[in-house]
Amino acid sequence: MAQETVKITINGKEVVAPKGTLIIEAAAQAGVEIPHYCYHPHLSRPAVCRMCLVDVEGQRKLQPSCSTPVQPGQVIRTDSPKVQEAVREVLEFTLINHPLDCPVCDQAGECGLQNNYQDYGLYNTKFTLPKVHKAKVQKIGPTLTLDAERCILCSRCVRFTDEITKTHEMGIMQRGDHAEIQAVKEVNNPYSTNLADICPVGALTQNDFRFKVRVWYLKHQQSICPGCARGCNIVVDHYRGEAQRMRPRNNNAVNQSWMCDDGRLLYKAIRNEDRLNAPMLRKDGKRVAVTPSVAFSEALRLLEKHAKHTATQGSASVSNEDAFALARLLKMMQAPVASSLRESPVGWEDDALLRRADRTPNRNGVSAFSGTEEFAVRLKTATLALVIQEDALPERSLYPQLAGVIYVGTHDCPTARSADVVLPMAMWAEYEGSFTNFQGRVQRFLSVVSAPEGVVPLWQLASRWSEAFGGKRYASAAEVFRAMATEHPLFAKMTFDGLGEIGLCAPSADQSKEA
Amino acid sequence: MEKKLLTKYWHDPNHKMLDGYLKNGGYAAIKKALGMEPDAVIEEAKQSKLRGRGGAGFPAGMKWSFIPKKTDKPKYVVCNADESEPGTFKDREIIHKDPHSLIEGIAICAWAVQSHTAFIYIRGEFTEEAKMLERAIQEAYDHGYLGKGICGTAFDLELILHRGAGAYICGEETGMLESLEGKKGQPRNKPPFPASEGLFQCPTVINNVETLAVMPWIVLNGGAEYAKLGTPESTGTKLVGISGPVKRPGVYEIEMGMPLMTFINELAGGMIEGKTLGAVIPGGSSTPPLTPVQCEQAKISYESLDKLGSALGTAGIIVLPDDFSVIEAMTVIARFYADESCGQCTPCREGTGWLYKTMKRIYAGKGAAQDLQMLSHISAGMKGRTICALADAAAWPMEGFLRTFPEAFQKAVTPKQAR
Amino acid sequence: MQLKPETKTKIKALLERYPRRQATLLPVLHLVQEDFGYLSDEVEELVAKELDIPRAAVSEVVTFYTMFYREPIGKYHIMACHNLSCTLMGAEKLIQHLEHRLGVQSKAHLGETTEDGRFTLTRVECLGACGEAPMMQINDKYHLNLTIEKIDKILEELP
Repeated sequence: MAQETVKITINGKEVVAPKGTLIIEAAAQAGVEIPHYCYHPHLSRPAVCRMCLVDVEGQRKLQPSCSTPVQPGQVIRTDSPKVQEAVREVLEFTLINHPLDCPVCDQAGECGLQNNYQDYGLYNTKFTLPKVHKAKVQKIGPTLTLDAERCILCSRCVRFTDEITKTHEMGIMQRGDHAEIQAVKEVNNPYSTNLADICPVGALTQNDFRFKVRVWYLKHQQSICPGCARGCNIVVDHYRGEAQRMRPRNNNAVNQSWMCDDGRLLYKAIRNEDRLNAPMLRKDGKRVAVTPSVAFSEALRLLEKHAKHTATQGSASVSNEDAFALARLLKMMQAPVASSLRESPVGWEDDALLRRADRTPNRNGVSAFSGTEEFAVRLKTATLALVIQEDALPERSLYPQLAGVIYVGTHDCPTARSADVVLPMAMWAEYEGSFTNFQGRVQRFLSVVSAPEGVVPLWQLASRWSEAFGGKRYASAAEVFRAMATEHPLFAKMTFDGLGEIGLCAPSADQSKEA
Repeated sequence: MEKKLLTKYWHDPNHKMLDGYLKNGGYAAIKKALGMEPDAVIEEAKQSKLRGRGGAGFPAGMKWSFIPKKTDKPKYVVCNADESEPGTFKDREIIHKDPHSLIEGIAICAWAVQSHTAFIYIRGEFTEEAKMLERAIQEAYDHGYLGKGICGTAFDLELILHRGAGAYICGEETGMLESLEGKKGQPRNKPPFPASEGLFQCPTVINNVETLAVMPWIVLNGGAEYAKLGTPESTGTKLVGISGPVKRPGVYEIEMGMPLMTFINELAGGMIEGKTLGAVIPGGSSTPPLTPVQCEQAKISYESLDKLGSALGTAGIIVLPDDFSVIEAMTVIARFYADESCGQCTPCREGTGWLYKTMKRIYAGKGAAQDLQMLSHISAGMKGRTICALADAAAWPMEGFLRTFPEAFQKAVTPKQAR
Repeated sequence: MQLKPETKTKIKALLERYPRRQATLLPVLHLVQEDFGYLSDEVEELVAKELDIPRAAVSEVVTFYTMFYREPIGKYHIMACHNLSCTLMGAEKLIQHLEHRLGVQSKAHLGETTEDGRFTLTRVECLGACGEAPMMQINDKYHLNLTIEKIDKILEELP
């Protein structure tokens, strides 16, 4: 069914927008940015900051574009002197009681006040009277710090805790210019850090990130959170080769504009002390570091020797490309496909917002390339175990017939400690690939930081090993994806680049799960 | 001099009790209305051209006609008894002397729009008045003028008295609805208007006490009869309050169009001994002041006061003597709006505070010449850019005082030695 | 700390009259403040629980309206109007007299309380009795057409 549309004119340009679109959204779609503080696409619209006023022909007063839907034939100006004057003066009002403490404010560089002042303000302050003072540096929960003086009372945080998490921690107390944002109880909900993201100023800042890096030094990369089967779309901010924070990125079909607090801290695992940085071989019961090529060759020797007697444990944490390349290798080895995936770590249940009980990012994708037989069953007869990422073989002594164990993973664990060959693999932030989330949406993540020297993703290892069995070696994730798309209906007609910023759903995927 | 429609029996101490009210012909209007089609009642209200007496002056009958006829939702009538505009005290008088007129007016309105639940939102400080109304409501329930099947008909009407708790902004109709819903009294964006989505998101009529209390007269005598009184644009009578140093301050019911000075000199008895008229605020503190010369030209009507750059507002006249500092007067007014801003819209929250702080500095003798320009700048920045009219209500008197008393302001910001 | 049983009964009756629970908040806060004298954090929690609404919604309302107190007040709360009509009729002098007589500082929102806990002196905005200015409210009662002598008499006659 075609959506009803409305024709309007914005700054002299004709724009067609779906019926019911708000002026601010129609303008954004037409490339016209309207300044705002209180408006947020996923929250109710109180229209209180008054920054987004626009001129609608035939209306005596300027209209708030965040709460005014487009009407057929509407003639809108966002650039008239009347609007420009209003924006300038509303901004002036917004700033008079603001402490203007940018040099010591961690929001500096990504502050709505600074940005709009650059774009619409640039005047000397006329306010020479005493400012209203409010509570500063309040630790309102494990993740957040509140400075009420910096707050411009846009009420986004109140609406988030009322409408999204329904935890109701925030409120605006008092009235007039003494109105003050307050937490009435500890802000300790699983989504609390989103408050720091949606706060347009430096009132709510994230404890984990405060004073770590000035934001203008940060570089940004599009990625997908690996924390659960949701696959929240994120941006990873990095500085000097280190990830510094993860932020949600808008994807209406997956995570709107949010992500959970646990997911947000997963960047810390990249430089975790348990991280496997170098390949190792077991010699005389001890693990010794070796060069990547030595480890690679030793693993290949074992794979060739045991070939179809190999039992493989797959992982729901690796990319589609990893899983596909591995499955192809096993096929060439005439070994059984990797066994069905292990249960997800416990601790969560599906919640009403984003979090999924399945805390792996790619069960849906990897399952497409997995067998059903239990790894533990297969182990009883196998002579070689290939374990990917999981701690699936913590007690090797139970399987005396096993001649060798190869462990490929990102972090150390009992299985890795008893393996004959340990090959570190790259983590999600260190290479590019795709995950398929629980809705069947295939989403692309890009490389944020470099992997430790010599460490490569699983698909590269698998594709290089398969050369020995007469297979082709892939040069890029995109190339793996191309092969995968021709072979598997879940990826039919997709291309790696075509996944774009918000991913694609296979036609066969269950659309009813769309958020 | 006075024209007593609403106040006709106010001299009778029993009129406030149901017995007295009935003796004086009370509750005949609702009986008559219940015998009419609801639309016919709305038509009478329209014919009267009665403009809402809360200050904004929107035609009352029109407001009633906006209530949808066909809806699955309940409809509500809300009586605005949150009288808080400085200088205004007429509704309090109605509650004291004529509570049953109000209840009867509410019943008429409820019948006209087919609502079965009405609220009176009374300002929290009116504790005694709340008790008076509570008693009158109980009387009305006891005698079948409220409750199940009023006046022996099949029409049910519940009337709930709801007390505010100290916030001027709850007099703004959507602020009042928020407050009635148990929230901060922060006005809502319009549209949607209360007639379609008001109290609890249901169609709602909100009328001022005086507007509703005069409805029985209109129903009994006909809208056309009411419209014959007053001027074409300001029909009927109006309760006008007057305060300040006049001999007989108080509330008087007059026919619209009376010359302002006639009202001040004849009804209010003129200035008290030794005082001379300096300025008049004609309709509550948000209406710009008039000079003595303007007062001579002014009539008590919407159009006359509009023409003079002020407004009839609530018709709460405040008389300022010429020996009273207009700087102090404006400082008091600015303080009020700063205190009462609900704080949601930026221009109002910040602007009202800024105006007050600047006025306070000038009043303290520490102002500078550029402060005057600043006051105009702030006022202009506040107007027309907020959800409700409180920002405008603060800016109008500011601009009015600057315009009307430029010398006084100039003098106030001139250093003493330079004067 | 608990709500009084008779207050709970009254709240129950209110809940039956209003279509939404939160709509009873203002009347409930009036009732509860009468019982406890003021609305502490603990009382706010009790009200939130009783009405099954968020605590933040209660706190927002309590701090928004001037008639809800967050701290104890005197036995007699003197609310002296300092708006325009009363100022024109000499309110400032009367407030100064009250300050002097009681030995406390008047303030907007909530003024100081005398050491014996008898009086709190607050400056308030227009109470809608301008025709009888200057005026003040003591607890529920309006006192009109005030003079210094009248104020002295009123205070002396308070039990």
